[in-house]
Amino acid sequence: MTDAIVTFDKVTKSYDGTTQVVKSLDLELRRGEFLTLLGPSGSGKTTTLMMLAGFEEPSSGVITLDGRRLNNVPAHRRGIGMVFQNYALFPHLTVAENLAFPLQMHGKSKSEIPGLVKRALDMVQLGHLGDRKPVQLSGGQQQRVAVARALIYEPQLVLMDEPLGALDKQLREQMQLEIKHLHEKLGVTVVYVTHDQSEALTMSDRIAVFHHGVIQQLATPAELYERPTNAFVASFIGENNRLDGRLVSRDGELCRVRISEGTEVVAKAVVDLPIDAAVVLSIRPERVMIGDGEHGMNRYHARLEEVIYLGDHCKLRLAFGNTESFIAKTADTQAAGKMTRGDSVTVSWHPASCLALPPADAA
Amino acid sequence: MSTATATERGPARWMLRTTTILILIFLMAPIIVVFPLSFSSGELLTLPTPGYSWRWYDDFFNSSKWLLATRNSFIVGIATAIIATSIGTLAALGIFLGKFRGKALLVALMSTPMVVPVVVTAAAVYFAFSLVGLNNSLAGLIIAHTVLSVPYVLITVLATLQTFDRNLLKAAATLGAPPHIAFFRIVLPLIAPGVATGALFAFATSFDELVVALFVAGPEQFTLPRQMYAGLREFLSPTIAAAAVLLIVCSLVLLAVNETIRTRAVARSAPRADPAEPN
Repeated sequence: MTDAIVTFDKVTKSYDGTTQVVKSLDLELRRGEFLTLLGPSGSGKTTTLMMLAGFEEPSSGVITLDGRRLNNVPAHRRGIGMVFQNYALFPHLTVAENLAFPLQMHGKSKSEIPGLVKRALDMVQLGHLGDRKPVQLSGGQQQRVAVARALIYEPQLVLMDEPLGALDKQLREQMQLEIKHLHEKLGVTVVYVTHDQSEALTMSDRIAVFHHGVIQQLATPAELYERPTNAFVASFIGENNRLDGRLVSRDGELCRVRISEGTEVVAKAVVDLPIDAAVVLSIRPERVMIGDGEHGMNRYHARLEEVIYLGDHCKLRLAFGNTESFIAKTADTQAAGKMTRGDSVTVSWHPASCLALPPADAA
Repeated sequence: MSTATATERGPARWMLRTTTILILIFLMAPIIVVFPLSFSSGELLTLPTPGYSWRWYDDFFNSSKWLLATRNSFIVGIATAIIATSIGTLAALGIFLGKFRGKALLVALMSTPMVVPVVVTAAAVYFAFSLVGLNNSLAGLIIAHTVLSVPYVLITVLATLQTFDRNLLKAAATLGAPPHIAFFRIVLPLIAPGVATGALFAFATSFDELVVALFVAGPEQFTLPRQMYAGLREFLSPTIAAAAVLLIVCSLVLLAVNETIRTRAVARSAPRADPAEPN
């Protein structure tokens, strides 16, 4: 499982010769994994995917697939499947003809093609729609056909460029699981591009968070969520409270950070930072405890600004430190319902759930 | 109020109708006049005709000159259509897919034969051909007509390509199709209506063309328009009117073919009535 199928070695891409869209990228893809490239638009994730597919050439650096250099190998000889956001089904061919196309291109004999097409259609539960034209299918059905078409000739690597971007939320969540299950069943390596962090968390073995053409962090979903290594990752993945401050002292894993108005917080130091360095504290809303906690450290008073009722839980918006939108989540909706604006609320958190991070880009 | 607008609208509408009909008559009259003339039983091109007969059509189909001209017109027209369509389609595809600056300039340059007066092109072609000995040959006529026709193909195919999704080519590549296969299996079927229209335009451009034929064609290469022109100057017989009617019929057939292709393409790209079942 751990041998590399794809490597990027100091890959750089610039369209105009001055601005680098992708900056000296090093990345190793493991065989059989589901890797997501996650980032805001313009972060370089799509360019990275296009270089791997063969639609863009790196300005410098080397990409290899199975140890073979990919530079200057045209896309149709790379043997890399791809699913596009707008499906890119051939509109003049039926669903079955769309699926037969890659088989014909890979020299499958006429006699075995119908069987393979049928198997692929069954795989995505569209067995009865082989004779339809793509325009006669719904968006979700079209994307299933597109996925089946990319997988049917059994490429070892499949790229997906925001494939669910055009679908509504409910269908998107259903398709996320379908694609994930297909991946588990077939053992194919998948590189998935999205800007939707919950989609990335749902589907991926590992996630590479892109920002300004650089991978900010490459880790499993749980690691990214629990142990982000910089403020950008912390704020991009999941909800997050952010407090700016300066490092006062360090003692092994723990450190003290003074947030602007003189309040000090005990936090977990994620990376080595010098004393008096600017740090960003990151605390997940669900890790903020309301009321008197059991441990003595990090207990503060905050002013309640707003209670947001969300059914299974409530969000409290609090004025604390230098922010008026410090969010705490509580499952005790009854207690939260009794609070009113202006109340003083005691909040506390464990030092391990409060990460002291370098500000974005300083990583 | 309502009666006032009605009375105002009455004369306005009446004037619009009259003007429209008058303009249509103005446009159609010269063409319509040719029809009775071609069926005349007399020797002269005069109206009213003394009687009606098929004699000038007989004359047309029994005259070696007219038959040669018909044959030449079809040879030159079809050859021009094939060559101009190939060149124009590939040029359009290159301009559409290529990544380079100055595309608009390139299209403008390639369209110059459409803008430059034909007589200028014809004279230039005449001098150029005299250097390489292409005057008085069908090949020369085909080349000159191709020059005139390529812009029409280029522009119709470029217009069709605007609706072509480039991702389809990327998809074809990731599915293992080399560029030439992707062209024939994916691009060409999807832009076929535009290519066919371009080919018809190219054929029609050549079929109608007189000025270049005047310069370049010798008597052996006379096309139908060139033969009609010769007929007007030499002996003014109603055979010309019969030839004119045949040309008009050809044009109408081309128009009908083009319209059929267009409506079929529209029908094919629209979803069928039965709705896709939801997920």
